[in-house]
Amino acid sequence: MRQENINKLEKILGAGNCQVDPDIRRQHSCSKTALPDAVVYPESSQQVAEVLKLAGEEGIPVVPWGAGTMACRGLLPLAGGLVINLTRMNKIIEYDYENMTAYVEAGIPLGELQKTLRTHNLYWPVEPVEPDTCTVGGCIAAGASGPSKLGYGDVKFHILGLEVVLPTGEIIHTGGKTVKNVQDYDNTRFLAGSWGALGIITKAMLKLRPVPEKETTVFLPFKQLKEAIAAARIIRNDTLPVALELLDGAAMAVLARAGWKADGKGPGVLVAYNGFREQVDTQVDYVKKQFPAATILEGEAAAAAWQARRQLFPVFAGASGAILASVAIPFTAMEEFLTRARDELKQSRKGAALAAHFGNGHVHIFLDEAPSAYAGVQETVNRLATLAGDLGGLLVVDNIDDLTLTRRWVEARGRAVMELLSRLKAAFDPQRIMAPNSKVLAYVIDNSRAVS
Amino acid sequence: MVDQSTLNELVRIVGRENVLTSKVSLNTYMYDASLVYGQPEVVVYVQNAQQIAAIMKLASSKKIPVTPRGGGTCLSGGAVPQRGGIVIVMTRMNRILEIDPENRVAVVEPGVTNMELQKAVAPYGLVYMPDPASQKVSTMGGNLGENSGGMRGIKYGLTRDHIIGMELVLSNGEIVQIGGKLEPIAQELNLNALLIGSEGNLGIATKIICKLTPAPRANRTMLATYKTLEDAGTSVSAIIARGIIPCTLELMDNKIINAVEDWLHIGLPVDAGAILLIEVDGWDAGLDRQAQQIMEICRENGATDVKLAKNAKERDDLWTARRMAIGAIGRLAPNYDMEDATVPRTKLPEILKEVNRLSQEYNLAIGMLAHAGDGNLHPLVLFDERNKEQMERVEKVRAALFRKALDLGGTLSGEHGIGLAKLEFVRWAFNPEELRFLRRVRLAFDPSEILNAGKTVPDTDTAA
Repeated sequence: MRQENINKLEKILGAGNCQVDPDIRRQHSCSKTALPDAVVYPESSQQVAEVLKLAGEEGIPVVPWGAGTMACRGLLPLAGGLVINLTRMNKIIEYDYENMTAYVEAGIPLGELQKTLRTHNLYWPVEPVEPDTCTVGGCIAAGASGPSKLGYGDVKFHILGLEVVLPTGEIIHTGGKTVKNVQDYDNTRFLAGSWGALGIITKAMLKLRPVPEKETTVFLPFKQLKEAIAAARIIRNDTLPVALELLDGAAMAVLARAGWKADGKGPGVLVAYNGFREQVDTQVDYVKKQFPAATILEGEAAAAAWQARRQLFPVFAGASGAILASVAIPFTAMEEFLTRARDELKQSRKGAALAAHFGNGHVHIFLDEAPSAYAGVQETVNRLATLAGDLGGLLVVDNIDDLTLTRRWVEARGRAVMELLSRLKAAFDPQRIMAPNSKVLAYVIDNSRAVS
Repeated sequence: MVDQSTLNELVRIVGRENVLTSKVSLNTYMYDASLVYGQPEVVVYVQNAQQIAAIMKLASSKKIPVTPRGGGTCLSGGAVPQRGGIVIVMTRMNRILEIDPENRVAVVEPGVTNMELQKAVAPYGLVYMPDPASQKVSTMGGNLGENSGGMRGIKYGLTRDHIIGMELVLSNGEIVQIGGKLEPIAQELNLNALLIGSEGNLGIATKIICKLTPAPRANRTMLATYKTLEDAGTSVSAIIARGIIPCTLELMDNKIINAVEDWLHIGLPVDAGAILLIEVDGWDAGLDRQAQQIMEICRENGATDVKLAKNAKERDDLWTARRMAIGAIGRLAPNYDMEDATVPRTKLPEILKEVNRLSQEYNLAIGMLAHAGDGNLHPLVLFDERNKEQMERVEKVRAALFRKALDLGGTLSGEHGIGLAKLEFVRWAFNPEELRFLRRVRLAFDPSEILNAGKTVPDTDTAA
């Protein structure tokens, strides 16, 4: 980037708020070599708007950034351009506990927010991998969710409105404060999961929930995967769990390394119920009656189990990294998919693990190979993708830069889809400066697979 | 303009018997359930997506306005062809294509009514949660276009929470698939969000994929009686503040109570200033305790009487009272306008007071219905359309009401939409940048601007 533009940025943001130090640039990148030219730290929406106006005039690519915990799931490596770090926009503007809403700046760490919310017995039911350090804006941009999406849905169900700085420099507001609201197109939910491709979320109106009267977790150990699947199916069909996770034997071993050791060595099912005391007890009693080996976890024991569950992939990946494939499959095909995927992996990837958000029809496949060595597992992945496709599902690989499977999926939606997405991109971002490396649109706006 | 060659094309696409041009036919399609009118130039009945695609290709090449129409129950003019052109009637696309009980999804054509879907999935122990009061007549396509709500929105959400995919005809006649039966996993944008509640501006859905929910096993229904509307409003916030989220929290004022009681004779408290109809549901265990807590909270907040429905008959009576409220009000005056605005829940007492004040200031009878738990109010302004002077007062009351709702942090509409009826107020809710942005989004889907032309988003951002 030209020194002249650095100077202009410093003028907008104040000295010290535009960093070109290589270490800082490296922290804001999805690659060791392809780095942004500068990282800026705005403190207000107006500053964000001014930075975007400048970027638009100069044609500089811009990538929004929170705590960076999930960034590389949604972004391809990008050399050059500007990263906008939003962590200095971290205030709670209004906590209206009576209406169960909070209006916050995007850069607030989720852990800090939850602590404040608890003072009035409320919480924001979003639980990503790093629930303390990640930012609220990052959760929204990434469409974050955790095991409790079975009960409550992903992040888009928990936002009512947004302040967004468009790449044109316009500051707009979507949605509002009330749950029912049809006065604008629902850009609030549209921007959830848009990974920075359309604009920068600077503030969010969050929809909060009361902390439930009772929460209970039940763990069920099994010897065979087949038994675990059958149990999970019964639990999903006969009760209303908030979370229902199925882990194969390999995943259970990782869970122990992640800090929660269960009985036995086989696969396991982890179920959470919450709500009013009697409702929780009714469902837990039912599960115990059906599966006498079930153990009940409450308080710290339950928290430890779920923390370990969230850390499952990072622990599996370790320092050398691992490939994460995600599958969506009709619920009724879960049994066949899991069984056949396990057989396939036994043949080709002994070190692989399977973890399913069983009630959502989602399966995560952990492959013990660094993302850079994707070619080595591609054949296995292709076989699993075919299996998923044959069962009416879809497989994508989350943490590599190859978008072939995603692109194929989107193209199958109709030949007009790419044009529609391209026009929509232009409606938000006529100068095409916003996150050209965002995976949700990279295959639309740029034919090359990765910008790296 | 729809000229003879356009008519010939339409006949070729859908058959002569499905193209209506007689004056009587055109007059029949001038209306929906709002107070705005507009005559189409031609009305077309369609059977499938390919026909709609062919019509859209024709219309976009000639820039002819197109208004899709379902049951015609829209309360904001969404089905009114204000700029003439073609009305596409969707009601013959009324097949339920698939019910998949264990995967908890159904696929329907847009002309299926909400109630037909409810009835079809009930035998499987499943529910399609959104239940607009118009559900016997209103179609799933219309529900999708307007993001319809209903009585149990507070706990179970709105249409946007329960439609997960669709087949869509774009304005240029291309057919695309949006969302799907699976929970999303690919790195792609969520176009469902923009389309649900887009009031027919962005495309015409020809198949709709709906999420189904296991039917709650049990419920408890209560009726709380109050001296004033404000007391009832305060109770609403108090219940939710205690961590209880009922599936229904409906409010009715004295005018509505009396209108319903005069008609149905079910023993409603005719001297009450307001009543709240409250229902909790879920597992049977614990519901009695929740109901007890709610009744205590109501008493603490000024309820003069609280009753728990003892049996199915008593519950049905209470629900009948709520469902018939609008019909009952229709008996009181030649016309009514059902308004729709939202405020944050705690502002309910304030806006209820304001509506009362407006009613006196402008000397107009206003009945009050509200999905109180959502802060969504439906004041029913009573009048006689033939009385021009009275109509002017009606317009003033509407403007004052929406101004107040916005001032209190609310919105112009909770579930009926902007359409034509509220277009003039949109500039109060959005600034020029926001309106320009919304127009850009619209044009991205419909560059020729023919779909439900002239509605929802103002054409220009100059001040009215």
